[in-house]
Amino acid sequence: MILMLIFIAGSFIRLYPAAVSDKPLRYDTYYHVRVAELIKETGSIPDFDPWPAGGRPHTYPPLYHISLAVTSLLSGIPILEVSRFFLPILASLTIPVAFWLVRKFRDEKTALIAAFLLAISPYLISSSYESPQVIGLLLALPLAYFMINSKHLYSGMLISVIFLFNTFIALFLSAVIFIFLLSEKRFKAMAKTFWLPAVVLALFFLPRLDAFSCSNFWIGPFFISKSADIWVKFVTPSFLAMVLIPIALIKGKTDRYRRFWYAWVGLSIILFLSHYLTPIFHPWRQDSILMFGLVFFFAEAVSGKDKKRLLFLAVFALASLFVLNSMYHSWLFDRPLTSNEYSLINYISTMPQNVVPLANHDVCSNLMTLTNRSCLLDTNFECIPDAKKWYDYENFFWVRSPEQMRTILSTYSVNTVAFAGGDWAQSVIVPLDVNKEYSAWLPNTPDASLYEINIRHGNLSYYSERP
Amino acid sequence: MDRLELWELTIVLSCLILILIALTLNTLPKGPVTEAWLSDYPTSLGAGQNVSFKLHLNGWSEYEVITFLDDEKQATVRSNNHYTLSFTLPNPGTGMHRITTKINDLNSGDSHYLFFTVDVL
Repeated sequence: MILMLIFIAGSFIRLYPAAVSDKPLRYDTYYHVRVAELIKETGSIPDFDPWPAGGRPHTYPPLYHISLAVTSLLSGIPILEVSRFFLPILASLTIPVAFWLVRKFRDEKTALIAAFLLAISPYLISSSYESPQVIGLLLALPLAYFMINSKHLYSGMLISVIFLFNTFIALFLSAVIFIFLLSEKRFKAMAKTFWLPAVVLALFFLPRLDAFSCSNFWIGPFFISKSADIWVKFVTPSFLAMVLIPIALIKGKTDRYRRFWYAWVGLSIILFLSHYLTPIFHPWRQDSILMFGLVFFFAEAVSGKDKKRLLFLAVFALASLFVLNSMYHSWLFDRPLTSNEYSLINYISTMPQNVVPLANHDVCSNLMTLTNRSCLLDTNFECIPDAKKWYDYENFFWVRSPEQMRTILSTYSVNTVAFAGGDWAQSVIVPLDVNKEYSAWLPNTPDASLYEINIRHGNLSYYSERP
Repeated sequence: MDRLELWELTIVLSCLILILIALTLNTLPKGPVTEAWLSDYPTSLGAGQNVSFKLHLNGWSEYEVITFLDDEKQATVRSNNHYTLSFTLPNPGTGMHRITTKINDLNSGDSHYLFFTVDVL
């Protein structure tokens, strides 16, 4: 009964934002929809992504896109609609599956606490919409069960399946299992677990090695920016506290179940802290993975004595505040773009096909998916044929001087620029010889605008320059 | 079913409260979208030629349009959404000039701008 209530509440909190939005909630989803559409149309996994200007090799694992395409084919519902609900539904399913897992190794109360924390975790709620890593987290629960019970072949099969949904989460889970088995010095078990994922990984990537050679050091931009952002610095103390407090509270002998979550949380927090060296480990996803592990940690910590339950209640109250805070301030209830930005996209769709705008990731991704047009930027999920150009395009929206903009526009012969309301550098472009051709406004929000770049005699000048 | 303990009841009630909060939240920016765009504008002209362009407006209720040549306010002629700006350039080869249309939203008091530059040959 209580589990049912928790499940309904957790599902509702996840599905409601998707239901009230007419479009998918995260810009990542727009990329996945494009690939799924291509699979649905052609019946095969594409080896080339045609949307960003010039196209690029397609190397993303196919199972999520296939799942979207097949669900759409079977249901007759467009992929764009399917994508709104697919991941939140699977994210909701983690609640009863987590209950099942904890119940297998602990009592019902601990299982209920874990299910409840999973249901209300703001990090897990807000990460229920964009990445097939959600599927990895769901499958990680039976994976934990198999691993703790030494079912190595089944574990390997699950890691292989997870890899075909998302490489990052598969690598993370593999690392957790590696640490888990290493702590027990079970090297033979490692071989039994990892041979199948290694084969699947090789079968997938070996035919695509050419695709990787197209990248001229695609992770370069990640290493250029090495400083941790303010958000990372802000949350670091609380993240460390959230790990250390349950460790201090957990009593009793450490069995295999607990050791698995030690490995999970330990690796998560190390990867999170690695953001002080490089943001390459994608900390805005990493924190969700950390929170996922902490759910089981907390459940362990507060399922014992009454005083610990009081602590749990305090944690719950804090978590609820977090939920409210993140609901109010995150994109949880928002589409990636505002209404006036979607009007901008509609306007671009009426322009001649040879107009390929420079826009930020969100605008480009929506433009390419909703209007089937090309754009100069795309997601960073796959190989980037020209990382320097890509990086300049990304920086374009954050430069501080018109000269920096002029250099980027001239270097890459950009003809059209679309600014979303949040691109604060829009005002920087005004002194250049450009036409502000289109604008759309919402009350009390910055305008979303389109600029045509005037190249005269092969040069982009300043408007204020007179002969 | 075991009887509910206080902390379990707290969980259940909190879930219900969260559902109510989720139902009432809506952080999407509200209000109507107003659009404006320019078409048929020149990018270069000979000296003394008239500048004409179309200004399209969508979603506006009460507004006024003011046109500028560089910083100087110009008389504008309006026919539906077609604005024609006439001016005489002092000399040929004076380079770039910016024609700006300022749209004043009379309801909100906000001013919005579109512009294009012409190279006077």
